Amino acid sequence: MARFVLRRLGLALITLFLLSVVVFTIAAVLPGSVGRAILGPFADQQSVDNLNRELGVDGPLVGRYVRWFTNALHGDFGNSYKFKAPVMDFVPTALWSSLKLAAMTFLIVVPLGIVGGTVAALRKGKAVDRFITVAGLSLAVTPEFVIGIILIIVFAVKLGWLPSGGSAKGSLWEQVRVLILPAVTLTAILFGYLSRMTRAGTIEALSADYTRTAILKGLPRRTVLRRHVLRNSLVPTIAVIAVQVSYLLGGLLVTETLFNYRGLGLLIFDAAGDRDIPMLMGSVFIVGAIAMLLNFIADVLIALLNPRVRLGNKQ
Amino acid sequence: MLLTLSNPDLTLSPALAKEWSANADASEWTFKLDPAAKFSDGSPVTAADVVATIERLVDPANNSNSLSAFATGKLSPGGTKAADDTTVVFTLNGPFANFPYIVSSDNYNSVILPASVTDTSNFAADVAAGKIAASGPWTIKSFDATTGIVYVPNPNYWGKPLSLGGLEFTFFSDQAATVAALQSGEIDAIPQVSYAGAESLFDNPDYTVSEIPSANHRQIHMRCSEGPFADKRIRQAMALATDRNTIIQALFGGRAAAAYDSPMFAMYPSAGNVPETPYDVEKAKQLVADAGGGFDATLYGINYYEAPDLAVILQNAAKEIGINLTIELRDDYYDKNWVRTYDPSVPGADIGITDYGHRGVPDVYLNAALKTFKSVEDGAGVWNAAEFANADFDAAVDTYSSTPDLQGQKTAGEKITGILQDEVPMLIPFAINFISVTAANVSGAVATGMGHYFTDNATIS
Repeated sequence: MARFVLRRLGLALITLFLLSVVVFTIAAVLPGSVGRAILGPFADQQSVDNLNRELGVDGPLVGRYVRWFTNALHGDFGNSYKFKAPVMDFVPTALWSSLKLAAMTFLIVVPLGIVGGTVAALRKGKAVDRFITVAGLSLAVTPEFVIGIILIIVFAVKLGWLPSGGSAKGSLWEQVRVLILPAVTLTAILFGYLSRMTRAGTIEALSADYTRTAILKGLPRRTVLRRHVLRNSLVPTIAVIAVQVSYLLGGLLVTETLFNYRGLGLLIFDAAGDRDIPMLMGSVFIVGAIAMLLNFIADVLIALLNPRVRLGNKQ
Repeated sequence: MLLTLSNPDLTLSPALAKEWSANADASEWTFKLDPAAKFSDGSPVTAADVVATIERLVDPANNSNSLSAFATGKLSPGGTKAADDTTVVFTLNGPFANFPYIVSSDNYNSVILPASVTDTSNFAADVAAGKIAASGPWTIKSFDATTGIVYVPNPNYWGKPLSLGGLEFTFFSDQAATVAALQSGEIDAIPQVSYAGAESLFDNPDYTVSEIPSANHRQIHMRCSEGPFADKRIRQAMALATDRNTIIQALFGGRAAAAYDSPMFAMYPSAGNVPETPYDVEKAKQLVADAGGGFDATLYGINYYEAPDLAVILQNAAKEIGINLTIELRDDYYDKNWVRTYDPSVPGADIGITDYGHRGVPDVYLNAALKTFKSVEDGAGVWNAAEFANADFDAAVDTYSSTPDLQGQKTAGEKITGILQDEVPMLIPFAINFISVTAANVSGAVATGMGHYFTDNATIS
């Protein structure tokens, strides 16, 4: 197990390093100059050139990357060009906001997805199964902004029950009220994936030899489901959840923009638009690091649940 | 607060300055400050504060965005002096009749700060922290660069008392979210909206839509110095092939005014008569034929606002008269395809779409975008992407700028428009109306074409 953990950790660090190289390169070769983005279209070229020199964005790419990487290793992600303040003044707040939204979403979608997928598997081929599958797939392929706008029109504009967006500030109840509509939007998107994975895993586990043996030896149905079926069917579901957490932290662009929710997705979106490279790099790097960490935890969890995974190479 | 405020109807109102006057040739301007004016810390606003603020802004070493405005206004370092505690004298490099607009809210950088302020790089946060005193009706209670700003009444405000107890501005990255917030009652007003995406707010009794003419426009420059557009018949043909009313309907639902290739927009009192350029494809075709026939060229431009749609409309119009335009809208347009005059390594563009914001007077457009380029320091022509160089035009602009009376300005304005419509260094098909919206229970909030939002008389019922 220790070897498995070390190998996964090593892979995660290499991936993180490659991610930083790719993001830095892409950010650096984006068209348009940083100085121009800051000073505006009508600033004279001399001022733009001076600012580019001052910010150190006119030097060779490799040197700039090495400088950024060395500083990042010391926790210094530089100053935001737009806000003229350290990137780390903004990323933790945005990350915390995104974590709240992700937590709220998972509170809704994980039980819903697992129950939905399991029920669909247990009623395979019947009307309930078809309803859950078709509804999940339909919601998954509907763009977030369509679902989000419908929810806003119904619950914020027409009924006035919930706010149409904003930041999660104030009392717990106020924060929950702000989070409900974006979290339900994301639930609609994620439910289909999660329930399908659970359904497939459950169907596979139900037809597995160990389940048949458990039933034949007379174990109660509930025990068979809990100890044999769910335990095995959740392996792919956990992997999906881990991937979706990364999506929820960094890929919430559309939902966060639509609900004006100031999380990491909106921070990255604004940073890219403003060519605020330190902010872009810092936020993407943090999202990447969290994604790696979650995938690593998911791998370890899966290995714990399923010995074949951790012993795979030995066999 | 600024010395003067530029109103939606393009007139000026007194602000920190109670009155102002010029000498006979408008080369020296005297501003009398309101002796009641105070900063939020209770100290008086003095001429020394005005001198320190303006001198900081005109110093090229500080790289202020207002340098081009002050260059247009012919104000150089050392030109601002205090005659006494409440009198400021601006000595210009030459006559300039619209100078009060250069120190108005049109030039938003020229907000007057205490003389002790030298660093404004964290302005809002410093005001909120009490490090910089403000002199307007509001002062900042809290500021978050990502989410918004909260204003409270300035306890030492010297003007009319405010009706509202506070203001909260929320920052949005997307208009759909802003509109939804207004519709659900979370916000009371949107200081500026684009027509597209906000249609549900129009003709709706729950909202008050305010629409004012502005000089916000797009310039489609055509390079006069070389290349396929150097022949003025080609440029004239492009003007004749541009169906302005159709463009305005298609892009803005009619919420813009037709313009005729001159920044002397009809909304300016000093514009005089602006002749309409007819939509005449046959005449345009004839002009192209006379100039040697059609050709291929690349239309560059900004890649936001309505520019992508405008580019397609222009492409179709040009195709009708035998000019095949390939569209290249670029994020680095301003670096690569706009002005190349003072940087020969920049390729520029034979034809390109540039966005221009509103100004209460047309001087900056005329001086920076159209006058013959001499040097960066001089300021004239620094945005002249068309590389238009016309001595008669330069002289007409000089006359316009230095003429103090309206009738004289109109005469000069008509001459300017006449030259531009004959030479057509750029197409200016429209000037976009400025639209702001409030909930029906809000009154007294006033938006200007520049995007300022005056809330000192705002009330909520």
